[in-house]
Amino acid sequence: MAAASDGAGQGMVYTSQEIQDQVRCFVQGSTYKSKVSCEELAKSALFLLRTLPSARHAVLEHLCTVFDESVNTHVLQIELGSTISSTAMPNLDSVIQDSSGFLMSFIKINPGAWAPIISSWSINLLGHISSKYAERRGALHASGFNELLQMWMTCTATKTLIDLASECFASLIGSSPDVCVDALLEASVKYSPHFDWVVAHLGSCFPQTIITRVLMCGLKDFCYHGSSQSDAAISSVQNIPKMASVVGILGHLAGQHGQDIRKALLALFRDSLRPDAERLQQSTTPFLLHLASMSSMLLHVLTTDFVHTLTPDILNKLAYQFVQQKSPSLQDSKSLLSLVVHLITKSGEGAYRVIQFLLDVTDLNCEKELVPEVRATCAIILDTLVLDLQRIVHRRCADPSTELPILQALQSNALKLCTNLVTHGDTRQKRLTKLLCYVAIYSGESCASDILAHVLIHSREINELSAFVQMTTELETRYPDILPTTVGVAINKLQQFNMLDGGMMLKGLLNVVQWERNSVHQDSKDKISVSRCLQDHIPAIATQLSHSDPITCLAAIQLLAEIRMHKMSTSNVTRICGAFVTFFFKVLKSKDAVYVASALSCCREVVKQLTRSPTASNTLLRFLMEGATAEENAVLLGGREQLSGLSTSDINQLEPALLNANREHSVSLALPRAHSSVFHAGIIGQGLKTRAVGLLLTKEKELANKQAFLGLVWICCCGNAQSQNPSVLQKDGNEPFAGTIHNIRLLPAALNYLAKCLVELTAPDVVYNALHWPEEEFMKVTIERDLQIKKTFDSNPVLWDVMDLISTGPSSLCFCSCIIRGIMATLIAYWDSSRDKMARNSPKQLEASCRLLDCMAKDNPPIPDTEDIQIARDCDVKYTQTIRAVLHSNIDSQGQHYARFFSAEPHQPQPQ
Amino acid sequence: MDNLRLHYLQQLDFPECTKVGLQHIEEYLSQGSQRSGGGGRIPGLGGSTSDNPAQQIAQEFVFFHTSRRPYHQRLSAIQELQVLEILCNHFHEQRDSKKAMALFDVLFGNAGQLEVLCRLVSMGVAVQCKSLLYCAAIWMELQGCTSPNPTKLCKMLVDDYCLLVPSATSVLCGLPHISRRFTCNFMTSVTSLYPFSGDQCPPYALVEMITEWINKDPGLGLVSLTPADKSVIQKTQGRYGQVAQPWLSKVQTPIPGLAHWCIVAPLTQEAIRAKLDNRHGETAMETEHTNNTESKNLQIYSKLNVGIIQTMVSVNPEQSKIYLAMQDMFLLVKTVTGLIQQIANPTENDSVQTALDRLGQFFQVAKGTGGLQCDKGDLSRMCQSLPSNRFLEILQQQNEAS
Repeated sequence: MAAASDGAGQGMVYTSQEIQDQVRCFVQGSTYKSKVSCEELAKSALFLLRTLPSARHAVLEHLCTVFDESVNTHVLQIELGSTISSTAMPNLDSVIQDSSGFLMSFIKINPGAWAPIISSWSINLLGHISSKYAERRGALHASGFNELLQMWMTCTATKTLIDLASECFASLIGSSPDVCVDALLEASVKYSPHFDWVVAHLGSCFPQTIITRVLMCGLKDFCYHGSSQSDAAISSVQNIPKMASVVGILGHLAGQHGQDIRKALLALFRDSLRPDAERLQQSTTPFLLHLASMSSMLLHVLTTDFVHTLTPDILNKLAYQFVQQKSPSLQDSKSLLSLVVHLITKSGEGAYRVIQFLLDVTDLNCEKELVPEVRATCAIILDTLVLDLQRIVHRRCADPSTELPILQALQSNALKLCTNLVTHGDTRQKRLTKLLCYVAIYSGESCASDILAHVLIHSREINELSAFVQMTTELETRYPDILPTTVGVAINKLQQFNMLDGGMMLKGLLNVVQWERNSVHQDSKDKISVSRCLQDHIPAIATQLSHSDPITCLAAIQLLAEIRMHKMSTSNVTRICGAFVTFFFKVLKSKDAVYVASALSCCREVVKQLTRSPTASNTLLRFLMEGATAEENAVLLGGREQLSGLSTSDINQLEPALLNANREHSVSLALPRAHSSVFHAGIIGQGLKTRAVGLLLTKEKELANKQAFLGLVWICCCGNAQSQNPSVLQKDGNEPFAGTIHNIRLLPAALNYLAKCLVELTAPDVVYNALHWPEEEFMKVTIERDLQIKKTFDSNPVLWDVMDLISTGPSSLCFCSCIIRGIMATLIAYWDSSRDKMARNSPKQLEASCRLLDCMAKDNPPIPDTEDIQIARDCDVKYTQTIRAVLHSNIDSQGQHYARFFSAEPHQPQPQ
Repeated sequence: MDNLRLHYLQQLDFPECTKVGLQHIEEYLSQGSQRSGGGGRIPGLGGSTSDNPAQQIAQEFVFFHTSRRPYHQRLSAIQELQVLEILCNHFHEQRDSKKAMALFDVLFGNAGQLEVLCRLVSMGVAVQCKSLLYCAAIWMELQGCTSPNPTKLCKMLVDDYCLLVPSATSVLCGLPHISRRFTCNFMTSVTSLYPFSGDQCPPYALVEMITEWINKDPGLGLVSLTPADKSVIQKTQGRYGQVAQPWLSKVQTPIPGLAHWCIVAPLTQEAIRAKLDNRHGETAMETEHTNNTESKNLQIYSKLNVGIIQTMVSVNPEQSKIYLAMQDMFLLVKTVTGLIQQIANPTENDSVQTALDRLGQFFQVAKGTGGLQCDKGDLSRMCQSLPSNRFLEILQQQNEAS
């Protein structure tokens, strides 16, 4: 250091002879012609540096060997441990320190002149040393980047060099940073990868400048090479050596200075869009794209940060820039576009945003003011992208190891894309559909079915439906079982989802099913259709009938009406029927006539479907009957509230809220630890629940309700032998049909079941219901029960109609003989005790009597060849004596009826 | 015989072969002069470079630029220094300026090795090699001092001694002691190197040095007016052909260039000051610093002006040569006018007046000492575009009166 200050001092004049001597000494020493000691040599070298400017190249070259030797010693020491005698070291170290002191002082005194010389010298030397000792070091332990850095920083020589270099950088950075960065880049090209630590170190000393400058240098280089080989393809761009080292340097700095890089890139981009941008800056965009193609880190920045900046204004500017650039040859722009597409396929995290952006831009409906060229270009990019993806995805089937980052990234955003598809309508549908298809194919069947299910559930318009159909067709080529899976997923979602979405989801399903019904493909039986898949999920759909939202319920019933039901397990049948009946009565309560009408027509369809199986029709009958007689529903069908003296209020409060609450639980799946049922006796603070009484319905409404109810019952009784299904009719043709209503015969079995139901619901206790005449003694204790039966009929007048229906069957009325007996007994008792002159004075009793007689009349005389009737006829002789006597006395007029009551062979068994 | 010689040289190791090679070249040249003295050679057809064995040796054993010896690819910087040392020594020992010039011509005549030449001259300055610098001076004159190659040489010297190693400036200061002719040509070149346009001011150290030279030795600027010994350049005639005797057609002296510096300097100073004034927020220290350099500059340029006037006065009127053309004068006036236009209110500006005073002085002295030939109307034409100046007006009046 003392020597350094000497050197800087002015006024030291040396004679020419001295200089000549030193030159001789230096030359001889450095060429090993004669033995000159290390210190001597160093002294003369530094002397020459101060006095003989033209010798500086030689001096610097000599210093190279000095540094090299020092590094060699250092490496040797590491290799052999510290066993090597360190006698040579202090000399070298002091030489290095002296010379670096000199050079430092030169840089300080005149940075403009010295810094470029010393920086390029030190950088080259560093490159040389690091690549020279790379092999040696390779045998050692310094494998990692950081270890390498540490190793070189502990070496005096390299540390001095890098200090010198950073000193030069520091002094040049203000005035002409290009000089040093250029040198750095060139060295990086030449000595990569051993040189990386230098770049990293210098870069982290001056991150901002280095990043900006490195980018600028890269851009210049790109422009230069780009213009000289304008018609060459992308591959040649990657051959530009500096690009690689630019990418390498940025890669090193990315870890710690990612934000700086980001900013620098953005600034570069922004500058290029200024109106006064130069020719050089105008090729920024292609440059950035090429950079991105070489580094995933930069690509990431491009796809995540840059997309935000691409406002319509900037896009227009970009377009203008490209137009303005002197006629970029067609091939050139083509290769640029294909590069963009390539980059998009490589993009990871930001892929969704990029796609979203492209879709936004190409969407003609969006209100942004865009130049048509921009739109067209984006459309081309998107289309090419879609084509490329198609090719890659289908090729990937053969080789599943191919990675496709864009699809990987889109996979997690697939549902968002789906929503996009649904919300934006047809403008972007075509491309999105394809894109989603490829995402689905790429990411496996389960994801594919998720995507499809999403589209299916959300499809409301015909467009979305078509998207679904397109996607299904495309995906079925890859996953043949996709449709059942999809439907399964959709149904699962239905049960998970919040209450509100259910209706929409069901509507989506309904659309598809309706389309399938109307479409030509319906006939092809091989094809798996959604409605066929839905057959497995009928119970799940049926549970939606208990939904609190009427629209959801309507959608559910509509959907059910569309599905052809096939055999189901009893538990499922029970569930479906239960839900259905609850729904039915809920519909009857509704005041919205349109809603009621459409719901009821669907209900009829559903019942038709359900009654294909006898089990279902029986269950349904039972539930219907139970429902009709339930207290809360009786009013709907013309029943009179039994308990009086209660306040009137809204009809909705009539139903027991607790039951409703529990029913709603069945809509969604029961989760572990969640409530599966609700128990409460009211809301705290409101006291006991007040019992409410429904307002009275109009006669017309009552009648309509009754009609609806009976209609369903009637359909149930028709069974599957309906006129629409002639084959079934044919099969059951030889079965004896009882009564006919509108030329459609009802199934006796169903009527029998109905009759049994009626008995069960009306008879309060175990009642004798055999066909044989009961014991005399038994009859005496039935008065109370008879009254009970009569009362039930009074409060549920619809039961009369049911009995009417039953009476159309050949012998079904027999099964409710106890009811007939009971009512009859009550009525007879009444008439016996009645003192009214006119029967008309007690109209209720009169009407009841008439109806009872009507019913009985229909079934009389019973058709002789049924077993039950046979048995019925064999009643005790003492009861038939009167009739026999009456017939005998009027045999002339009533003779033809005799055979109906008394057979010639009383105990003839019925052949099976 | 030539081949034998080459073969022999090829057997030698590096420093030796260069030394011996130089001797061979000299030998050959002396033989050649005898031969040409015998009338065997036609001047101007001295054979192309590749045929010439001297050239061949120079290329192969001095510069090591040859395709024939791949193992001697390029010299390292240290080896180059060695070569420079050998060359320096050789020139140092060569007392015969004719022979030296001939050798110099062989080595650097076709300007192919400009870089080496620059370094050699730079070293020659440091080791005070008189004959080398003399040869370089002649070379510069032959090339034309303001032409690119000599300018490059001078730039290198300025860089080396004024910018890179300020501690070695004193070495350059002694240049007139080594070779006056080279110093003179150096000045000529340097003035064209820094034309004072824009911010391109010559380094202060350089101006200071030149001022000192001129003031100490007024005749220094006129050295190039004396033609060099004809016998020295005789050898090179063949190469340079018609351009070989520049001083017959046009003599280049540093006087116009230096005068240009002195006249333009105050105006440039003014422009820089105006620029600084526009830039606000300067610290007091900076202002002081600029003021200091300004006054220093003003001082040095007026000193230089005196030196130039003295130089011009010292011309012996009997052997006076025309060193200034009216064309140069008009060019100078044009530059001055351009600079003045940038200055507001020029008639009352001291710097402008100083510049115009110096212009008038320069014109008057040059005319008076016979360095400038001009018509009667030239002066008034010159003054047309310039703002009013008392000195110039007096001159004009005188001019009209005479």
